Amino acid sequence: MSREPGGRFRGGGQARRDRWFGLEERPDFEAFRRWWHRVGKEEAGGRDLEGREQAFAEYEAWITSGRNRVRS
Amino acid sequence: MVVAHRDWTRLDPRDEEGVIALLRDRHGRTPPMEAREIERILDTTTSFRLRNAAALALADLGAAGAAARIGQVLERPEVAPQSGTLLFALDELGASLPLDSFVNILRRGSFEGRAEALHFLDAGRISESGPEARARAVAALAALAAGADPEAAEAARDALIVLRPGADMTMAGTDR
Repeated sequence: MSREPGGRFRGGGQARRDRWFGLEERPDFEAFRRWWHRVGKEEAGGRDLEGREQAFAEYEAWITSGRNRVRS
Repeated sequence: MVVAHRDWTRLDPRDEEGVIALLRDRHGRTPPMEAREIERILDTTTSFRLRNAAALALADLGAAGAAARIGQVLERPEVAPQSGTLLFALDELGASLPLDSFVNILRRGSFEGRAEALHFLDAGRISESGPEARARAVAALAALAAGADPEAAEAARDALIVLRPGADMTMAGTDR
């Protein structure tokens, strides 16, 4: 264990782990995540996703609507 | 050409829809809303929709101090239940998440907030101000791990693997 100035923990790799219960394994997850935060959430009322089921439902709705993408 | 000047401090905070529209269309307005005005909205609003729009606007601006301001807002208990997009904005800025804010989100956050917060842990982008702060956070996480909320407990156990004394971790460079 080493320590450098700035006090920032480094506890793992850059890969997104199973924090979204498998949704993050989908190849277009990052596009969905970006769309959700920038478009979908506001259209849905602005509240956070409350669980796995809601997250998958919003993802499936995004797929059905044509995978709208948000520019970086 | 006459350029219209607008006093953004006179925005009606009750006009949630109007302010959100301005924040989301920030580049299409003359004059554009400045970062300090957006930060003022982020700091003072009680609307989670306004906070989301303000955080995204700050991420788009990439203004100096924006990440620190978002990180501070994420320390507030009342913000935690609707914190997912603030965390996303912080991620867009490439910044780290303050440890106190991280603990706050794990304790009081939504499914989405915890997922976004744990992303910072996985990416090695949790920042803290010293050993005392870290010890306080580890104690809070240990209590959370033994608590009644199963989702918060699971997230806290994951965090403790990285953050508790003796864990295999390094401390990386400064935040932006």
